[in-house]
Amino acid sequence: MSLLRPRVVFLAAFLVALSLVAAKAALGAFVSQCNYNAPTPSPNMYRDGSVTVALVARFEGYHWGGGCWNDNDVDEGPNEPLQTVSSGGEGGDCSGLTFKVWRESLNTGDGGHYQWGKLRNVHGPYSAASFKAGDGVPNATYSKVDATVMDAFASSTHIGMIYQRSTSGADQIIEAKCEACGTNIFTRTYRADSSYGGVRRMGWTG
Amino acid sequence: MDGLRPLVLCVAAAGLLFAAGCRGHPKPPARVAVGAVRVGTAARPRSAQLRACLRRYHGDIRLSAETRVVERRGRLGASLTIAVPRSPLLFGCDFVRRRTAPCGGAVGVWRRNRLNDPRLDILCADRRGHLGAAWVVPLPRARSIAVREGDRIDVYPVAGRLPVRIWTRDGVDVARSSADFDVSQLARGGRELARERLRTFVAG
Repeated sequence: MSLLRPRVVFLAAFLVALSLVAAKAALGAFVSQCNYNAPTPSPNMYRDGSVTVALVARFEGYHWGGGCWNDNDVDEGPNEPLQTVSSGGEGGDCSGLTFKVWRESLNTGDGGHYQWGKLRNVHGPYSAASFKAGDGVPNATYSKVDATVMDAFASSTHIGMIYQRSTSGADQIIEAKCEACGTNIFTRTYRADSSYGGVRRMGWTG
Repeated sequence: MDGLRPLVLCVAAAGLLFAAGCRGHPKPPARVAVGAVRVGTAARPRSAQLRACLRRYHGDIRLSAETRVVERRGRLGASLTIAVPRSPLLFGCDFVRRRTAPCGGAVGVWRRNRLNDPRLDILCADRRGHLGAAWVVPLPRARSIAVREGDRIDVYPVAGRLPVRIWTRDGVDVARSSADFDVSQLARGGRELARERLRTFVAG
């Protein structure tokens, strides 16, 4: 028994090390796929289409300052250091997700529609506080009472988009919330929360 | 922000020493610009920029006599940093020169002299292109922050026991929503305490 114990400990440590190496390799392989390609301008932008864009990001994780994700429903970079950009993980943060789903331009004076590839590593120039203030030509502050699907609620530190409006006061919000919670649809009461304001992406086709 | 205090001589000297190359390496002469700074409260906002900034954060900032405001004006832009007592949030407004409406801003989480992130803002631009502004947390003995851009050095005096909002033009990378700052932290007399290339990203 005493001879077996060190071997078991060694084997366990070896397996843990192996899994860490494999996870790091998987993250490295994922990061190498991220790119800086130009977006594709699109003449139209429908709310339903943006819901589809948002759902691609669902389950793909959360990354502070990030903007690159694939579509396999696995977070390739889990448990990243909090609020650190440079580790190169998967997923967007709250404002990066909103920028991409709202198909905005890096030029804040451009209100056009730009389709960004899911693997395009782009966050965009806006933080949650910037969205809340209505910064940029495509964005405007908007009445929370009238906010509808794919409008957003923003505070100084967070933004989430309406996935499904509810009359009960608790909406279904699609958002990149935090490292532990990832990107998903959550029931939130932002509409009634005084620290949140309404934000609308202008220029919807329908 | 008219009527800002005149430049502090020791800070200018510190900047000049930094520019001259303290380690004995000959460097081309740099043009040094020392920013102006004023520390006050938001109890009676007098400047148009402060009033505009408070409007931006309407509902988020509760004004009191303890609300600290650091107003800065430099070569590339002006900024306001506002700390609200008993709130972990630090509010910032950025201005291109001679404008009273903020071109951008930032909100950071400021606890026990630690900032969650430099809170880069790249929304501001002038005729020559994009500008980036971010906070740097000064080291305990730092009296000023120097940012080098080519042959220019911008010096920002530390004030108000708050992070220092610094600017860059050359370091902005719009496609990556990022900006790099060549930062030195200077002690009294211009002694360099630390030097780093600060890489910042728009986030959160």
